[in-house]
Amino acid sequence: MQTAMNAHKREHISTFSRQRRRETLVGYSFVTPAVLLLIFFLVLPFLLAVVFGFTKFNLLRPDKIHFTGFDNYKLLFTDGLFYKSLWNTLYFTIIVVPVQSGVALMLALLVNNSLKLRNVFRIAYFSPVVTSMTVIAILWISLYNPNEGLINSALHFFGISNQPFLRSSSQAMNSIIFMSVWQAAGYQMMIFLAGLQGISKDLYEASSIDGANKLQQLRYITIPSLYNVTVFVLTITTIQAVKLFVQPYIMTNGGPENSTRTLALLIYQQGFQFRNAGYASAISVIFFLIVVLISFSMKKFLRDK
Amino acid sequence: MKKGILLSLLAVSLLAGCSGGGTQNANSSSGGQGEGSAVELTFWRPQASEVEDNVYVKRIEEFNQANKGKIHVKMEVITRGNSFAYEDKINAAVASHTLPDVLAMDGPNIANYAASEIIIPLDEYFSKEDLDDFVPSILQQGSYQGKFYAPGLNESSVVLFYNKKIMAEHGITPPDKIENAWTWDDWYDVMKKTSKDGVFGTNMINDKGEWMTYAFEQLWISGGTDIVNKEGTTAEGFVNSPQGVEAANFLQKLANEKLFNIDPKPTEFEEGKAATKLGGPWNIPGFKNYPDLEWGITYFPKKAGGIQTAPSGSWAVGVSADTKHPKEAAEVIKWITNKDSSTQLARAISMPASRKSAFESLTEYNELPLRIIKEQVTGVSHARPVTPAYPVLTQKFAEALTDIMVGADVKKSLDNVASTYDEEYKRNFAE
Amino acid sequence: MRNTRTKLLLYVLNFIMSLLFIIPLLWMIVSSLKPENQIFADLSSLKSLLPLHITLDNYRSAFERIPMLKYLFNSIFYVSVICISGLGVNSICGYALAKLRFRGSEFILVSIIALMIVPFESILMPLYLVVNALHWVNTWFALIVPFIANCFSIFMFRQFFMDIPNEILESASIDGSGPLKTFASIVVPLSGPVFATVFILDFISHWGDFMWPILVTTGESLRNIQLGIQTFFTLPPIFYGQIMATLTFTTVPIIVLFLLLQKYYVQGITSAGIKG
Repeated sequence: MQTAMNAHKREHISTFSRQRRRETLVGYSFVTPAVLLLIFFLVLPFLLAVVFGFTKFNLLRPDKIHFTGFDNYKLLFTDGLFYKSLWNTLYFTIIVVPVQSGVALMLALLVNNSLKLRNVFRIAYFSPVVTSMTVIAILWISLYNPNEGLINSALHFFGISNQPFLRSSSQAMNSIIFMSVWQAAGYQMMIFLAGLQGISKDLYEASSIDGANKLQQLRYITIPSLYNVTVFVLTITTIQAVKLFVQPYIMTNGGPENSTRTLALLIYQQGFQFRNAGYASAISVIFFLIVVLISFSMKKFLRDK
Repeated sequence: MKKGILLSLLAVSLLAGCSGGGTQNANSSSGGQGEGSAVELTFWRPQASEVEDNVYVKRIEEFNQANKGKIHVKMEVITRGNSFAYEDKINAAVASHTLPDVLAMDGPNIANYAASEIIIPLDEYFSKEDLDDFVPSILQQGSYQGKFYAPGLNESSVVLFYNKKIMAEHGITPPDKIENAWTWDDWYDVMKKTSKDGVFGTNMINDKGEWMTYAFEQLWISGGTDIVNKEGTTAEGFVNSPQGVEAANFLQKLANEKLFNIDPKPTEFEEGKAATKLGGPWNIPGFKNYPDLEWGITYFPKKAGGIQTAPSGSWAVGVSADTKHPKEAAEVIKWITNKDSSTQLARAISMPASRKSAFESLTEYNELPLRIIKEQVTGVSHARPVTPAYPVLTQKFAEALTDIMVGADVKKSLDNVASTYDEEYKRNFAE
Repeated sequence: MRNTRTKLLLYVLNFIMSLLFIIPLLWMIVSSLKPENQIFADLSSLKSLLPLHITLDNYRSAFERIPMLKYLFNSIFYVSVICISGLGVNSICGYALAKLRFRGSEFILVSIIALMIVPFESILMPLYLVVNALHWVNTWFALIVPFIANCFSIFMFRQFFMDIPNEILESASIDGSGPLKTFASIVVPLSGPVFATVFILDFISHWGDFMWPILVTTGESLRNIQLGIQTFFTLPPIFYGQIMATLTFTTVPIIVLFLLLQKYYVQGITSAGIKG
């Protein structure tokens, strides 16, 4: 009896552990292709960049590369432009992430329905994402034109005088923020939309039988069901925001007075234009560490909520 | 585990380094056996307009014909775009030792490439006579530390275009003799008079980039200074010299008084919305699309009592240090920049030629309006600074001018250029 | 009654918002149909959005200047290969991270999130060295292989798969299906919107590839559409009409793709079995 029970228990444990082992094996085989590719084409290059960060490496003098220890880092921490770029990057991120995600969710709700024209609206909201940045830049630079731009004409209508927008160190970043939200909200809208499509219709039906109104459904069904998607959207929006590059590169080249210089722009400028690959790599490493810190504190914050 | 990662990392960085050591030269300069026993050479240049590309294709074909059995050149056209993509590709090719035998480069990069020893001096392949035939600015931009590295294929210049109708309305006659060239003050008065009713006094490109240095360094030169010293070792006391501050103040004044549109439409002048335009020969073909526009050319304005000067600079060709056939590569360079090539190119793209002798057959340059361009190119032009730290200089200078035009403190901005440049030079090039 | 009012409100809101968002696309298309001189003449007025002088000249001359169809085909080919192989590789990885318990999965997930942070600009040169060491320069491999595995896609799949109730998966495994079969027959059909979204977002990001193709390709045979477009930016004077025509032409495939993928966005999951 006793032994039989033990045997049973043992058998149970062993099926359990066998199952665990099988799951482990399947898990590994599922992640292997992606992980191998990432190691070769992302981790390895990044580690190389980390190594370069400890060297003096002029891109045109690969033969003269040599280790300089923490020299690049010492230089970095005394470089005023680094701090300025870091601040600009953080400022952009702090504002863009909530605003853009909020707008995206709103757009997704606007088109997640059975309206006949919903596909047209979806394309409309998504169109700035697929339109070439060159077109968008030409158009917005002219919209923001301090002398004869359409936005200034509109402000005139309300009795507000001409604003310099991209040509002012106090307004340039905010102008880029506004344009960025408008340009990229369609991207996150798609993701929210995919999330909304995953919510079972039955939930809404059941709740409306219970007498819930649309707003209550939004509060008690839609938002909670989108938890995982929201985490995803906030995470990638943050990560894309900290990598802000194209808009300032095309529209302001970091100016006026470095007010739109971001870390990614600084890395590109040092690494490619100035060919200081070592210094640029050191900036990348510090940038990476800072963002990792932020993302994990944010993740903790989201979890605590 | 950690050790393993570190080791494999080292292995790969070595691998990358070694493959750089010349084991594989993807770009065929080691090939050598293209056509019979002919030396096979690769030539990279950035894509340009169709007509320009065609001149190259034709000239290279002719070269291959003329050197049949001896040298065969394969030209590869690299996409350029507005950015520095072509330069980035060169950087990558240097890092992996896959440079072609012959490569084109923008003028201000020559010193940088020469200092980094990725191109070789060509003095032994050019006779003194031959060199003297190039306009002075081409020799200036192509030389580094007393050696000549890369001749230009054509020249360029910046002139002041003007709208004839608007000038006539205000009774203004722009000068057509170099000794009467407008001073900054004359130009300012013209802008003041013409700037009204939605018309700007002038139009200038404002790309926040290379144009700023290309066009406006001349204001420093006209004032008797420059943005770096002759040796290119320091900017302190040059870019931020009193004359420099004066030049920058002038630009700031134009912007403050809204005499030009800081974010202009590209066709402002063509549409009659600007009385003058600081531009170059490359603008001329586009004017044809605007039959209502009557335009003329006058000289690049100088400082009162200062030096008459004008911007210059062009793409040039050099021989890479990786080549196994420097002699043959130099033959290609000589061919592609000889009198015939220079003349044909100048004619095709309506840019001034790089050789004095080429102007002989370009008779259109003997009369107005193009005569102005010729006078500037052969007489008074200055090349951009010859310094290996040019990328930092031009970027910082452009940033400073862009800021100054929207009201930044002039002296502070220029001081910043000087200190950034000097630090960069000290760190990377002073030996 | 209330329903029609909500509908009307939705329509009005959508119309206003759509107008705000569609302007650049509209401007691009309208400009591509205008004679060169008109594009900037109209720029600062509403005329810029009205096709008053329609001409197809820009398209005609653009097509004469570059082998547009060939570049377009190149782009469609390599971007599709990246995205399709990416769907396979990234989705099973995301699935494992969402639903399977194994040692190190947390570490892998955290690493993947961290790796998303690395700016492409900072690994561009080292990646080039790796690809060069593999002798892939000037081959399709260089354009495709490094980008198949994608941290964004993996993370996105993972987040969406988290929401699939465990009960369905368990019932499948009781039925005796293997893990790959469970994935293919249960998970994939439930996740149409995710697959469609990942595909289109990945497609767009590589459709715009510019810097990397310049570094790793030299000849014309591998040139993609973005490099082709640059042709129109290099010739002064630049003809904006031609630029707008080519840009319009290269935006069309993405819009078509978007419409094709729309069918995977079937409203709601109706199967009764999967109430969490």
